[in-house]
Amino acid sequence: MADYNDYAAKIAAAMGGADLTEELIKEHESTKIADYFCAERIRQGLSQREVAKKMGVSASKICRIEDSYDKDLSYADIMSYGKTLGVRPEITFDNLNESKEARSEGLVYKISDMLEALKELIPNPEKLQGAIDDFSGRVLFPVLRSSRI
Amino acid sequence: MSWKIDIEFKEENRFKQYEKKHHAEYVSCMARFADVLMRFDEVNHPNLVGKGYFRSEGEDVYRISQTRTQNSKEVRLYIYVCMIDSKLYPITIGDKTTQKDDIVRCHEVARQIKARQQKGGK
Repeated sequence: MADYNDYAAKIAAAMGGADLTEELIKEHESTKIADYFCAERIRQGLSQREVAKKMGVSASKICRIEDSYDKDLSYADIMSYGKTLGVRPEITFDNLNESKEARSEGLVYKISDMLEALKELIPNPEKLQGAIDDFSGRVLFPVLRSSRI
Repeated sequence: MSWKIDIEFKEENRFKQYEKKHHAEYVSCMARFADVLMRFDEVNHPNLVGKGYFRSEGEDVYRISQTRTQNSKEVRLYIYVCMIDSKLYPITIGDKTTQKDDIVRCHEVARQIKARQQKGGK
């Protein structure tokens, strides 16, 4: 599957030299949210105008959202656009001020929640139940136990 | 289908000027150019690229605008899209103040490329 980095290298080679590649990749990273919304909108076959109508805003607003750096997007716009496309943006916090034990415990619970969510989505969860239980027993519980000692 | 970049008609001085004097805007346009190239390989037609910053300026010339930012010069890159040989020809780069003349020049280049192809050239 095509990787943006390869295309950045192609443009850099054609236009300005290999040094430019890293700059293009970094620039691309700074518009990930906007690019995601734009790609999902296209995937759903929607125009900016159609999304604007669903959101109850002007088409130029959608254009502005998709044309912005991630740092310039508001939380409200991200949540609203996501909801319109049927995408649920999630924000997670990893508190670097906490101890390693506390952070480990937090990650264990997150992974456990994600495995539960996975079971809801896969067609035959019973088949994977044993593997998930095995993983929980081998990895998650020991980490949880050690974080509480 | 793999699209190619052809820099034969690239206005070298103009690109160098913008790379030096408006570097952030230049990088933004080039990053989007990479994205556009990727989209062309996926969809194979300019009408299907679907990006708001990629707009037609007529005669198969397209404008790729920089990412929106406050107090910017609104820099844009102009390319010619050749469906015959699946090539993107970067022509010039400019901003809102040079837009009119830039588009006129790009149209001239587009006609030049088309005329050459009609004569049986590359």
